[in-house]
Amino acid sequence: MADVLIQSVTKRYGTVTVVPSLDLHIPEGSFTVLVGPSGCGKSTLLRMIAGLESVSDGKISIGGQDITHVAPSKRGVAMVFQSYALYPHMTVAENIGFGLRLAGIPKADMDERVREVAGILQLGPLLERRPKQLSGGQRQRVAIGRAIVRKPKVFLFDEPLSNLDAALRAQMRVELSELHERLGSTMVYVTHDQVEAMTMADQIVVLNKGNIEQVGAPMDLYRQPATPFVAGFIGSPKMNFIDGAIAREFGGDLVGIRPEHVTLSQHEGRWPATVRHAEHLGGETLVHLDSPVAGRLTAKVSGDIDAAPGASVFATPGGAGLHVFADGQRVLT
Amino acid sequence: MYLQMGNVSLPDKSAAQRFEKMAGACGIDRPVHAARTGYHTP
Repeated sequence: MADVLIQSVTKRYGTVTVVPSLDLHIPEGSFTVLVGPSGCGKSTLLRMIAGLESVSDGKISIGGQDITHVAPSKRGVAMVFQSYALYPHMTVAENIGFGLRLAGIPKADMDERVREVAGILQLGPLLERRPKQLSGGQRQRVAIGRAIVRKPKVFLFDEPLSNLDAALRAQMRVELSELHERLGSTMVYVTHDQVEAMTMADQIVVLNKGNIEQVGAPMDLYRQPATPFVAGFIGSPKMNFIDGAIAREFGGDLVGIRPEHVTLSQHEGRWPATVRHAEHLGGETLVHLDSPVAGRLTAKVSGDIDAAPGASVFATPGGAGLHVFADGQRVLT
Repeated sequence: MYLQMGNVSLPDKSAAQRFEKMAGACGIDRPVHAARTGYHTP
């Protein structure tokens, strides 16, 4: 177990700078999620920590040791890929134990560690199967098992759940969080899915165009986004943004309101609006509105309300849920 | 062909070096070297 320190790390491909000078501390034992849209540099950063990409400038340390130019296999990291990268001709036990075998670990020790890992990941009954006889979730657990068995200082996950269906992703999110609690290891996890970031991380790093927009605990980013980008990226459904006269009224050039902080009334309220569409999710309803004053809005209301397209309503923002921005930064209120 | 390891085809040395790095990041140390020296032949 160790912390990861990234100091002034830059990545260039020829004349194109993908990651400008970036500084980040990943505390020992944390579950840090790097999140951002495609092309934001999150996978490049993870691959630089793994040693799969060279660093153009700067320094990466793990547990106080400079590993910037150390080979991937000597960094004390273990990476789990989206594509599993298992050997199809080997059994589950052979896949998990392969790294130990090449490292010259005696067979008895190797078997014991494989059994121990299989127990943690509930792979015991599957040890003699081959990857093609497993489901996607089971294959991903084998890839995780192969990472755990080497007892790395840092686990690196590169969008490991992207190939799984929605139900399995939800299950694996819980399993990975439980695994982190059990092992207490430093884990760095890359995803473009803000739900994965919010549910698993104890530290989220939001990246945009190679720059860090904000670092913090999930609920801190949700409650106090530093920039409109973070405000729009974290939270589902997406935050409503209003500019112009309404924003100036609040002392900024942009105001953000989360859909759950917009209340609707048929008789009175701040902004008149027309219902465009209602999405009935069972326990709650997403109402999409057009307001001549505030523009397009989404309101998230509890229960299955009756909101027919074309109906006239009033939308009112909740005072505590207002996020005011000026010049791309949060205005402290 | 530089090396065939199970389903993994490594046409040349640079492909083998890339594979070795990927495996290293997964915690598998030098599988190509092991296969070429006969220590491990998948």
